[in-house]
Amino acid sequence: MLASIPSATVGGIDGLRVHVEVHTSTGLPAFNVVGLPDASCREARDRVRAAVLSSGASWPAQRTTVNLAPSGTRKEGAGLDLAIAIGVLVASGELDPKQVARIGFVAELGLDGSLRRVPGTLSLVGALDDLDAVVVPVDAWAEASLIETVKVRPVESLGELLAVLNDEAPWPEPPSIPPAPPNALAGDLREVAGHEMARRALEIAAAGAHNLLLVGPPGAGKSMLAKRLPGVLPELDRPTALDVTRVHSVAGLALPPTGLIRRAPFRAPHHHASTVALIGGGSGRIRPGEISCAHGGVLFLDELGEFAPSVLDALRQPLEDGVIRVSRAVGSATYPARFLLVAAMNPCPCGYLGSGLDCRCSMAARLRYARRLSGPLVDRFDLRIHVARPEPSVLLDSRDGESSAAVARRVAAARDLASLRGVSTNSALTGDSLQRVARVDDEGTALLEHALANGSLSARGLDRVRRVARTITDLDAPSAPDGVIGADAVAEALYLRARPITFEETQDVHTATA
Amino acid sequence: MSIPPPPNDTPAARTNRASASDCDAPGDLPPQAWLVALLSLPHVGPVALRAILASDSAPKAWDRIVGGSVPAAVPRARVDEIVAAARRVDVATQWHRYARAGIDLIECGDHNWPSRLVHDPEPPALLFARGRCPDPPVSVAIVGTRACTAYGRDIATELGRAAARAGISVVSGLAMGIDAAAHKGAVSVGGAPPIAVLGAGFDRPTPAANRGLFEQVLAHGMVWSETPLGAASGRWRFPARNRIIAGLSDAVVVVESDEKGGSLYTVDEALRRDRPVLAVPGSIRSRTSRGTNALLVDGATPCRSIDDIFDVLGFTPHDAHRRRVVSLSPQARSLLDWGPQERVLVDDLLRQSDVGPGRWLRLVDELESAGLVVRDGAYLRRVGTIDALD
Repeated sequence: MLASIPSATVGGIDGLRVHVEVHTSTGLPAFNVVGLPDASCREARDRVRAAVLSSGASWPAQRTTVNLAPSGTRKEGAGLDLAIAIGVLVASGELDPKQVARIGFVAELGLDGSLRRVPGTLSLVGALDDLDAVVVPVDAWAEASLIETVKVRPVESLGELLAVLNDEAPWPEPPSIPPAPPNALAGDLREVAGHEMARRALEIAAAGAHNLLLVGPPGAGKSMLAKRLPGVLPELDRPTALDVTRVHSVAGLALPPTGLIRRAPFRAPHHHASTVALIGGGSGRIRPGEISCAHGGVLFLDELGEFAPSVLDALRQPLEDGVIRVSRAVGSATYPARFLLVAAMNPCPCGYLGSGLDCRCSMAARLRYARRLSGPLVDRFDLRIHVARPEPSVLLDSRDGESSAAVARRVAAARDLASLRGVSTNSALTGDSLQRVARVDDEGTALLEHALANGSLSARGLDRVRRVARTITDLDAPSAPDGVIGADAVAEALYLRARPITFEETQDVHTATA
Repeated sequence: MSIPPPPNDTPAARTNRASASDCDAPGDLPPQAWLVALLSLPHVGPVALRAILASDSAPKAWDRIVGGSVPAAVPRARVDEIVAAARRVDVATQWHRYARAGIDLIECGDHNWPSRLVHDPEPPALLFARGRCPDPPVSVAIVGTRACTAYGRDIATELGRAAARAGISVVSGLAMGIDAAAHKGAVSVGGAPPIAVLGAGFDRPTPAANRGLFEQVLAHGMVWSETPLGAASGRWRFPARNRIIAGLSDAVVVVESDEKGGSLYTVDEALRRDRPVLAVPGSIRSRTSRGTNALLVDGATPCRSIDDIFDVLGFTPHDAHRRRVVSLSPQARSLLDWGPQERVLVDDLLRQSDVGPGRWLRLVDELESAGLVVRDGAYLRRVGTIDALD
């Protein structure tokens, strides 16, 4: 007998529809899975058999062939277990095909018949959204029910499911989802003493999605500041939230109880991370990398100078495009990768250049260090500031600083202005639109010309400075979306874009106008 | 003092030389072509050259060497190497390289030979030059260690700037550190043309990081080298270059130096030529001021500002250059009076100010343009003379 059961496998961050075809015939008992299953899928035979027997059904003693169609694409993971089990039971006659018509199945099976969540459930259910129903494990229900176009049925075990399909019991009630807990921030800006310039830079980075580079000696507070950035970013909008949830689910990361990730993610890979771990890929199975897990949020590279230059180089394309395409012999995948890049670095190998304590590095060591960080990468940062440890009197001051919530409100208001202009954030403004929406008054233009003339600003830097000045104006005057940019905003944007001290010696001298 | 050469200063403009581009045959090459060829040989420095030329003209000496006969003054162990190298050289091709690179060859006795080198105790046999100002009226050498501190760099830049503004040419070696800072200051204001003396040939002019500075000194002033193109670099070239720096200056200022720095050699050469030596005092804790402080103990004139240099040279700058009169807005002025400490965190000043960050940063720009503060990472540092305010 023949059965065809709909399920899905993961391809990139999307689900690919898989038809699990099961054929039983007379002959010596055998069980074969074909259709390019990966190791996990091939092991399904043992899991499914044990699960079926544990659920009280019988396992056919026949020659059984399972084909995962379309047979030309690789199938991954254990999510096809349940569909295979149902297929076998239909093909052997235990289940009436009409009972499972137009129902999809996505779950791993335990040996006792319990259903288990698989990574990428959201994407997998998304591939089955034209059916009448999809059966998923209970702990995947919150995630799966984000797909609103199909009815999602949470089931505890194969036994329970068989009872429903044989009309012996009704579908179980879905679990109640606890309300989203109040977001526990990694840290509040209220706790930060001093660092006025850095706070300002964080706010501007968040408001306009401008990449931020923090340069300073060890212990200055760079990592502490960077970790407080997610606290001022607004919640994700629904389309982005779904994308982020998809990526995190496929990557096997934990999801919140509500199933949907609403907070901007914060990913901080260690500087020993490989290029594949950072960008995505992998030889056996293609997985999303840290940059995709940071989609919609922040990628924080602490100790930028310690990352291998080849790893940093791989970042340039996704920073430009917002996606990463990974190609391997086994296949290819396109992952989203639009993130805010924040990095922290020491100004020189000993860490004390520009901090007041004299730098112990030789000129050659300093130059070597500066050259490790390629010009194009450092150029990608719109905001580049120096961070220094505040004076003891400031650190001991017991008064709180401004809270993250207050800053987040301003950031949200500024982002609203950006959406009025038709972009999600000001960092996306380009060319023509920049000319139109980021007009600078005469005083500001004079400042820009001065900077261009004395070589402290390049032509590419000019666009970046204008975008940042646009964000600053939005923050300071949120009620005037078309406000002309003044000299104060330009001055601040120029200061924040200034080349950090690490790279000073490698640049040419330029003539001042004085 | 000689008249500056005409602006179109190519070899063709000189009357006492044929242009290399006019040459068709080796017979048309000027004698300088053979001088250069001799200098390009290994182990032939100024002393050996003088010995070789003692008895023969350059073309004849060359022919003899190619023929295998090297003058007695050259160490015998090197003879084979020199003869082999000579046989590989094409004098005309080599000479044309100089013309193409715009490098002039100036010999003692040429009309644009620096007047200060006319009575030098150990002058170079000849100098390669690019630029347009061989003989500034007043010049001062500002030299120091490559591994300088921020203090040294600031002082060198300020002195370079003040000297150039007052009409004094700054002479230095384009090395990293103090030398580069002094010339950075000098080129930033225009004013008197800067003079650089290289420790290597024009094909390897400076550490790459100073390339831009080299181009600017070249554009506004003069660059000298005693080393021919393609010559191997060697440590001995740097002290040799330092003697030329001393020779081209009316006074030598050492800004920072270790106890045994190369700039101390420049001091010795300056003393040999009766040039006054000044040293910038520094912190007794700073390794880079040990050399300079020791010079002060030995009798060098302390250099506390450009005025000390003016005094030593007997130079009276034009009054407009004497005191840089700076007018500041009242807010910028009050920002400058942040307290006694030389260095302050930007964060602290920003917190204490009552204007927004943008407006505040424009005040900082004002102070920076006036040369009164400098940005140092997350700090601001006061530099320059504050009593120059109106």
